[in-house]
Amino acid sequence: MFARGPALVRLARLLVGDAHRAEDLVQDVLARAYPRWSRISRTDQPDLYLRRMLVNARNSWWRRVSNREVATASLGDRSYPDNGDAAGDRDAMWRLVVTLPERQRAVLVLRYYEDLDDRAIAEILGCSLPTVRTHAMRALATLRERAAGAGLMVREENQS
Amino acid sequence: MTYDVEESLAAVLRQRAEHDVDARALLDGALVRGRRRQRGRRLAAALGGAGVAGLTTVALLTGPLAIGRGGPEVGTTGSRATHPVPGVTDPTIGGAFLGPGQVGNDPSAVHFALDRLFAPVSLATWNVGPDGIETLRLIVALAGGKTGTVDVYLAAGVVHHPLLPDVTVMPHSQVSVEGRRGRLTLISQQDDTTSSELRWSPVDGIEAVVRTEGVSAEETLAIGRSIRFDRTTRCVTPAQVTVLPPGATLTGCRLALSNAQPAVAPSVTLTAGDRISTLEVSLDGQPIGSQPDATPLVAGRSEWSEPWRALVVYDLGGVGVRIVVQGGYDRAEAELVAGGLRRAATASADRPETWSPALTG
Repeated sequence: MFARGPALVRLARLLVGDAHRAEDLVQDVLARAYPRWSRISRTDQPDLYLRRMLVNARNSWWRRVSNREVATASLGDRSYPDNGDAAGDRDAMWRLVVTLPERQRAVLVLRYYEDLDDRAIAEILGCSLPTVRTHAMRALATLRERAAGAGLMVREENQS
Repeated sequence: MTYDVEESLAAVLRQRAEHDVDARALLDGALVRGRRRQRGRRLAAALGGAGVAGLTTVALLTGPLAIGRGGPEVGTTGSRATHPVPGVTDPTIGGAFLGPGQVGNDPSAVHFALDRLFAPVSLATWNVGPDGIETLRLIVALAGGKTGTVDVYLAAGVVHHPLLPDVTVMPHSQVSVEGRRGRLTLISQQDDTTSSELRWSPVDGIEAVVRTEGVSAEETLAIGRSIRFDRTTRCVTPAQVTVLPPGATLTGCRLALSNAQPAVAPSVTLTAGDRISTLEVSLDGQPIGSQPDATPLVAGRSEWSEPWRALVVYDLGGVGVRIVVQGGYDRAEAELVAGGLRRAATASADRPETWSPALTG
């Protein structure tokens, strides 16, 4: 079970946006899972189960504070490297990702970092498949809009 | 140069996530916490035993509370509704049939019950909100690894809820629900997005709504017909609130129970406040892990987090507590409420059927 720790930490870094808090969260999840690992390991997908524990642990603390998170400064107020600077673009995009509502952000992280399909994401988040797709659709729409507003050149979906 | 959001996300997330992890420190920290949790459980068990021996206890109902748990019941082959819905039922008081005027007025009581469902229930959340609407939300494990939702609403007059879209303009069927006329609306019907709504009045002056996603319209109707309005489901707490800020009243209660295996700890959230300010007291059936960036109030026991305006009590006799304040309330009000929490010594942290239906004391 503990061999899965580093992978969970990487996922937690994206969910909470802070390396120290991520490790703290994962330690807590592993401590909770350890006494029940013999049962968890007999489930079809123990990795999925641990991820669900992680998301729930994250939500249990932040579920009532998401609406009060301090909005990051307007991206339009910041200076960025030229669009040709890939590192600058990635930093700008990350700042956009962390402003998303927590469920939308979790869907994007699980889809684009963990490379999970929507069914697995629904299982982890404890919601329906249409809900996952709605979160993903809204999150991407928001990112496109804000990326354009921040001066990043956005390619439309139907462009090749 | 153009910038495609989807293409860039994976690279951005990889860059942010993939730094080295100190696996040894991670393991050590997890082991320390695991041992601490085990000690806490032993302590809670010892305190529970002491309570039976004569320490102060919180009065429970005279009638036994019961909770639905476990897998499909054997010997119910005549019905598809074979999977238990977790909920703390109270045999001592009736439901909406017997007290329609009480619907939405008592944070500790949901005036209906649903015992069983056609599919396994992962999570059941029973809620009475300040808006006077009683709700039940079920996360359901469907065939093929799919997940569905079942929402039940009950209110005096008409159910107006922000999560319920207006479907009155859509085609619907007239149906009978236990002898009462209802309307069944198929909102969408595709493989993964089937959703429907059943709306009817189970008793004069009261409206009920069943809203489902991932569930057939026929099953939605069957769920509506299986809801019991002659029974009450309790919202219960492992610790009573004995002190509130001046002018505040208890306005809501939300109880989350799981049938998932391995078990997920039960939790309850009590909402209190006045017209301007609110506070939420959340009690989990297990202690909480520490947060490194909160300012300690009492060494090793509770912390106040200013950015989140939340007070955390790590371990109230095996129960974790978070008090989040809004509006004009601040740390002082959170501490006031925390100081007045009274743990029910006979209540087992992970067995909500032993918790107190009296939310305040």
